[in-house]
Amino acid sequence: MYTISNIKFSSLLVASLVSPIMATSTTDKQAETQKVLNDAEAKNIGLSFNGVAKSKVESADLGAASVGSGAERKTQAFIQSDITIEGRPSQNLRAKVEFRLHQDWSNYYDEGPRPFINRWFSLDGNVLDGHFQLHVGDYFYKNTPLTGWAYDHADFLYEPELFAQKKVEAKTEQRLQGNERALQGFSFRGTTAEVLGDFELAATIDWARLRRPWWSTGIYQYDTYPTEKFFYDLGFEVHALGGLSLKANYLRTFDNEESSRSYNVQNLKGAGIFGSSKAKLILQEDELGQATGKALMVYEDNSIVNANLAFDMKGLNPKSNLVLKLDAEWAQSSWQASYDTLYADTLIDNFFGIATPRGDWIGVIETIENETITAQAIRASLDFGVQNKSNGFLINGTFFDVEKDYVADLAQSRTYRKNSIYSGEGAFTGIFESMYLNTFQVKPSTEVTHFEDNTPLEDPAYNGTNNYFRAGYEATGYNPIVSTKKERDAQPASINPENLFQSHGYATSNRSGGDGQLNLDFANRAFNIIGVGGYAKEKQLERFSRDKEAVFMKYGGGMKLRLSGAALLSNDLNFYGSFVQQKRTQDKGKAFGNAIDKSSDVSNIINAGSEIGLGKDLTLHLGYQQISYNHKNNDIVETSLDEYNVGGSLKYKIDHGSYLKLGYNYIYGEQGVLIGRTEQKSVLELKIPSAEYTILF
Amino acid sequence: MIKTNILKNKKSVSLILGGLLALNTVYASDVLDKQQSLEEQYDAFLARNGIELHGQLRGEWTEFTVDKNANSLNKQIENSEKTQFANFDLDFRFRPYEISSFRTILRFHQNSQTYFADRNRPISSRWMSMDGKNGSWFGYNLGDFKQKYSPLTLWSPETKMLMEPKIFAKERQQAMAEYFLSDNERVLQGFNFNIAPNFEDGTSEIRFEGFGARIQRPEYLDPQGYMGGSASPFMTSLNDSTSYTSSTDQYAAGSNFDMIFAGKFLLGATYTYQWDDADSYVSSWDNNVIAPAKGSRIQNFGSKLGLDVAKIASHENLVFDALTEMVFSSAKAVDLASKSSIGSEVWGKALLADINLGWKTKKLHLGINTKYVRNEKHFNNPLAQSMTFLPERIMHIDNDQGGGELKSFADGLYNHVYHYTPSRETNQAQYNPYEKNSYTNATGVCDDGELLIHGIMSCGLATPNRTGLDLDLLVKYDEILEVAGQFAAIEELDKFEGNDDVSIFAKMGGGLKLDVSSFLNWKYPLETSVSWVKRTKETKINAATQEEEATLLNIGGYYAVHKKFALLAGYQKFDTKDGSIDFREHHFRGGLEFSMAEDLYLQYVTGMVDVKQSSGGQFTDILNQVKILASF
Repeated sequence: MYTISNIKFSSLLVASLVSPIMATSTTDKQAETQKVLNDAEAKNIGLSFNGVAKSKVESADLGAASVGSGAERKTQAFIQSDITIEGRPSQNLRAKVEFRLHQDWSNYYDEGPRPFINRWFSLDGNVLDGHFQLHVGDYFYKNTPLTGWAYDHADFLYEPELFAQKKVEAKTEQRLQGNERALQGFSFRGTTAEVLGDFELAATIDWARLRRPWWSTGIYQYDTYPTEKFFYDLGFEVHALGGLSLKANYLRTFDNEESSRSYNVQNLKGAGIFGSSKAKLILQEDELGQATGKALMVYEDNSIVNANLAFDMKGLNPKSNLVLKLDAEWAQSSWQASYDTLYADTLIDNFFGIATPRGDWIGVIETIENETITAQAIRASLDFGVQNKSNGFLINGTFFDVEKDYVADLAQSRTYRKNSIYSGEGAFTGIFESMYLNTFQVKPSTEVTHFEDNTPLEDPAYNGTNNYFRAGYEATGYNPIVSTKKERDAQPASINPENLFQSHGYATSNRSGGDGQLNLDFANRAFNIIGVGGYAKEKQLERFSRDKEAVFMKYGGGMKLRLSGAALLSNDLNFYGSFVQQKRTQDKGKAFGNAIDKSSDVSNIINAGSEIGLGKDLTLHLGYQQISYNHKNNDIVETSLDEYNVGGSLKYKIDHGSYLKLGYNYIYGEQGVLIGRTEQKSVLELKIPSAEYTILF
Repeated sequence: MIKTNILKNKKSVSLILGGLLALNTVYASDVLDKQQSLEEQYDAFLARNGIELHGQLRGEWTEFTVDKNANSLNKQIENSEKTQFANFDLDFRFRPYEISSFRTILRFHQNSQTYFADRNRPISSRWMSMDGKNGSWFGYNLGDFKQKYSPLTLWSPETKMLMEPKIFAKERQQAMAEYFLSDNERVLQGFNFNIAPNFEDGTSEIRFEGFGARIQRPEYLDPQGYMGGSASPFMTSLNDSTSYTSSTDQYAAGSNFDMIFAGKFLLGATYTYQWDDADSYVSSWDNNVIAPAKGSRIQNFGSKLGLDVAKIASHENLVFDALTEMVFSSAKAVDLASKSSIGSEVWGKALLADINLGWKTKKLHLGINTKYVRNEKHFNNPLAQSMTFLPERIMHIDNDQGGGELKSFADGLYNHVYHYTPSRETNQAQYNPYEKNSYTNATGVCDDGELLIHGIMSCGLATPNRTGLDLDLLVKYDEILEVAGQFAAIEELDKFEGNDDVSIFAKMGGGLKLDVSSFLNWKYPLETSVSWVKRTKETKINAATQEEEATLLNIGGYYAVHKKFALLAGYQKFDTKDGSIDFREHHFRGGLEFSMAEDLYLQYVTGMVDVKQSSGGQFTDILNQVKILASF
């Protein structure tokens, strides 16, 4: 037996962690604790293993109207472990691999050998005395909200912790964390570090391959995209005075035209255009989809020049109670679409003067480049406030102005779309179901889904292999894929009740306006009050369905009572709730060519939650959410939606990092669509009990 | 999963930028979120209590070659099959805290013959469980687990052979271990717990146990395997009240409650329930094959009573204990589409009385074990009846295309291949494991099986439609001499449809095991064994009597010529006679073992299987094998 023990390491850590927690300033002690944790982690030289093991049973009972022709109850039951192996030859270098073992309880018997799934592979380093940092393989990337950012599609105010945790789990499955986007390639950063005192210069290079030119997994509709797509970001940074930063970046996502040629020719050959003795086909951009089915032979090139100025008072005076932050950026995007034109001839052989078609063909491809479209975007954000140990207030205001043709693939790609996770074809696709539930199974099936479209998963298809080939099969509302402008245009963002204001985050094109937030903490931080508001307008008319710019508004607020802090209770006792209304109105708009005077979309979102500590290690989590939405034309409701999400969980902490959780979730929704003069209703109902046991190691 | 920011890397500046770029900043929430994140990271550090590594390395070069003149051989196809591999089972135990730990067994496997074609070699996880215990009174498993309650309630009936030669027994254990089979424990996946406080210095105990497991789910699983249930080509349900499908989720749950008083009395009750969840029914699988619509719900109610007369009498040498178990089963067939019952509820009853009588001194052990069974035809409990040995063709399936011309008992019993690469006809599983193994831990159904191997109680002591006595005699002196006898007279309780009367089964046999070195005062053991068992089945049909006979002879030897070297040999003769069809098989293996420890050895084995069937098939199969095994 060979035993690796980290007991000593952990014990040392306990001692070093205790003192920072006793520090006077909360943020200071957190920073110190984080540093201790990071340093301790970095000193863990050699080979180390850590991870998480989870066993979960979750059953979804579908209400009668939500079943369709499928099963009335769908159950996932599994044991799973994500194991991370890190090799550290020194404090400054690391190779990290994370793999997943997953076993569905149900197919245990016929599935002796259970395959691995590799979820992360990276080489990371911090060398040359901290002057050069590198990440090769999988890495997380983000730049600014207008350029490279995975925006939170529905950042609900006071989202119940019960549901927020589910969302984090679902996003983590897809390698989405915070606003970072997982890429594969390399990321280098060179810096002067402390050589120039308070003045620091840094240069960054990020590179990633986004797609490859063949049917790779069959999972995503646009994986059939016939070209390789790449991304790079060149950056230069200046940091001064501890709190002032200036960044300039050049980002580009582009298709490699050469990589698609053989694919194009194959598709055109199959399209039956070579029957005549002399055929000539000029592929019009808009006809491409029809001519070749799914194949898109349009090459897109999106580049952005970006400048970002940031200032933080904390950098100058870390102990100041004053909060003053400024973050402003400007970006100019260029977007160009090119398309292939192919000239084709059959070969003519000449036998004794008689022309004879050989049946073969030749083709000449030329790439036609469209005009480059440029557009600009600006965003400026200011945080101002005062905070001390027991009270505080903070005001945030953000101004944004994004032109209609502004294109930023890495900031505008949706990371979330509605998907049916459990519900069948009888139900509509629910927001809460998509947002908070996900399943991972290992099956001999392949799913097909759409990632820029709010359409449910198609039925899984048997992948035609023998039974020992089992691939990861996921049902989720999240994805990390970078889409292109044409793809986003082809699937125009439908009205999303959960986020009417900015469907693609701050990088949403054709918006000008601002939003803000007021945050108050008082009574020893037992009370927290937040108010939000925003106003925006389209900058230009959309193409043919509009004749006047739409106006967007949001306002609302919420309050949290953190009684455990005020009453000095040792257990959690929190209650909170919020209400936010979002509106989109358009006077004198046109709906599919039929003139109307007034169009409006209104969504009301309610969140309420509570954490109640029932003992030292036992906590009850409760949550309630409601989204009510309607779309009116001339005050007649044409589409309506009411969705409710109610849940509770009881979480028992067994020891460090291991816990048992029992939960129940009820999702109910009604959707109405006016057809003629009759409202057609569909219903979604899910009852989801679950039990989960998790161990960290 | 908790993520840690590893390396003091570029975050020195990025952290500042991150703070500056944060939008909709909520100060209080930030602080608390950060605090929570730190606490989680701190917990993650403390959670890393350590890792234990165990493992087993196996290397094997095996070749079976059929005599080229054999009339069963397809001479157009290669007459030999080779199994050559190196495989490594790595057993990780993460964070072995007493209350919570995670265990996984990973297998790395490389076939020599596919080495060049098989650059991507899949790694598989054979076992995953989360386990823990609190003192001596509480324990639990989540994920893979093994459990047994009693022979009629939760049990894994295993094939037993009287005095099986060591050289064969080891092979069979390895084949069974591929599915974690041993000690009659049923292998399941789900949860399992045990609460067992004891009193009076551990002589009294109250034990409460429970488990829940998912057996199947509604998808197209294994078209040729066991999960097809009644659709399976080699299984016909003996208890004709149910059908097993994989068009639904199927679950099993059970609990057991025992009270042991002063180590003398036992009173217990058990309940198990196995059911198809009609709400999860799908009418077709992912490949559009229509799924069966017949499901079942099976309940078993058991009670047991035991007493140890020897302990009551406080007699040191007397062995006299008895355990009686009675179980009622209720099976209901269900139309999964309409969720309505088909027919009426079918009840069955099973009774087992197990009496041990004997005399035991430090060196001498005399014993008689008597079992009386009375299991009704409709007694239905797959959790105790599912067979673990379903004879499969292992070697030469290419040559006879699965037709059975080259089949032998020894092949099904002792051979297994983890990763088989078909040489022709199929292209499946070149890269992925394609197993050939007769042993299974599936919860399926039971049938009559092979009289010679499965015996007259093919599904163990819970075999339905059987009544009679089963007697085992044992005389054992130290580790030197062992004499055993087996007798059984069993008959069906209800005749099968079409038969004139119930079938009658009988078993008779005996064996002798002797360590000759003890007489000769040799330093190292020289063990010899011989056993002979005959089983018969008599069926009356169409006013005629059909007789089936099966006889098995085992002769074994083990001689340690040196501290590290040993010679092993074994011979088996399988005879079956079913009406006018005779089958005779001779199986011999002999080899040399170089052993450093019990699980660390190098072995060379040669042998042969010779089969003669009255229906015409004849062949001789020659074995040559080199094997290395190292456990740590």
